[in-house]
Amino acid sequence: MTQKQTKANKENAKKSTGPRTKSGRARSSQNSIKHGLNQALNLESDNRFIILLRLVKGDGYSHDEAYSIISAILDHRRVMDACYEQYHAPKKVFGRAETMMMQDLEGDAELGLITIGYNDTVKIARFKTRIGRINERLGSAQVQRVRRLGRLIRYQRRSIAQIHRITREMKNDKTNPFIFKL
Amino acid sequence: MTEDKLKQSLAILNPIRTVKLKDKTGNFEAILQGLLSDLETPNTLSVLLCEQIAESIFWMRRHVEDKELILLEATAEKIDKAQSGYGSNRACTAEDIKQVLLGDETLKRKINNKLKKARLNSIATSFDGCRAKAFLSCAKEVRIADDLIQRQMLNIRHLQRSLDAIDMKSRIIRRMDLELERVEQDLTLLEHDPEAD
Repeated sequence: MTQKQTKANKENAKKSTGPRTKSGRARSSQNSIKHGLNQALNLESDNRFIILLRLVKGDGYSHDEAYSIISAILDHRRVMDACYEQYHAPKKVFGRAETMMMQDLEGDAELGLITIGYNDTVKIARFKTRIGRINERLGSAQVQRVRRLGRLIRYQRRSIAQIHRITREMKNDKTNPFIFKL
Repeated sequence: MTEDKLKQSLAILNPIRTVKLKDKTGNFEAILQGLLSDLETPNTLSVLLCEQIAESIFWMRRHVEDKELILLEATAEKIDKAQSGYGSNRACTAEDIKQVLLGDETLKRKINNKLKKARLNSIATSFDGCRAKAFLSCAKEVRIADDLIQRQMLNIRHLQRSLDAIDMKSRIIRRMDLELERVEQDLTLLEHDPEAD
């Protein structure tokens, strides 16, 4: 890129002000979020929490026990829901629009609407090969899916360990005669 | 007796369902109902944990299927590339590879002949050679799939212990042990040593 182009880009960028409305800003603030699992768990906004808390307390558990186990289960749910979303995310394909454009050009050439010279044919063939190689590197739908889910393993480990720890503490509280509840 | 338990458990679970899988095959529901029918005294916490266990079993099966598909598709891709290079239409599919692995010798011979006749073939000249190359090329993804399966197994074990801490049920644990054994058997069937080819 030449210095002139770089300068023009900078000047054009200054003219852009980004989203202005409140809803636009709220929407664009979510742009960089991939799965949101590093955010703190907001239980107050989850309707299920209050219902489950009431039901578990109704089964004879103390408020603290019910609170901690339900929050751990809902945290696990958040992780597993993110896994579900990542599993069903659409497959990434490189150069889909360009490939369609090439196909249209070839179709027009077959119908005799345009003529494609030898050099153009070679260019199209090279372009297709390049796109093919990049898409091969991106992998099939299964491969992409597995890669995406692989990034969420550590979150699953954390949430499951939390459930396990809380239930173990609950069991110890019930069976250990040296623990007295005040 | 078991049906009554199942109805009782479902009555507790249905208003508070936390797992929302759009599973058209009905596998998840079948696993869940199997687990719930083994609960002797269902309560909110035990049915919730059963739901999480059923989900983990469901995911574990999915990951096993995905692993198998990755291997089959990689083999099909290698065979296609060996036959006709980049950018061609798919002539060999994962289904074809599965047929060969299930013992279709005619199809295997057909693929081998095509590979021998193919010009500019720098990959391999036999089905087994392509398969070995495919295993090497997708080794990283297969390892991630193995990690995912392993994670689900551990999830099940931990949830099982949690359920055990809340309410000890030997039958449900036996059922989960059998499920894990089945998956382990499936995995050993998928094992392949590329050096053996």
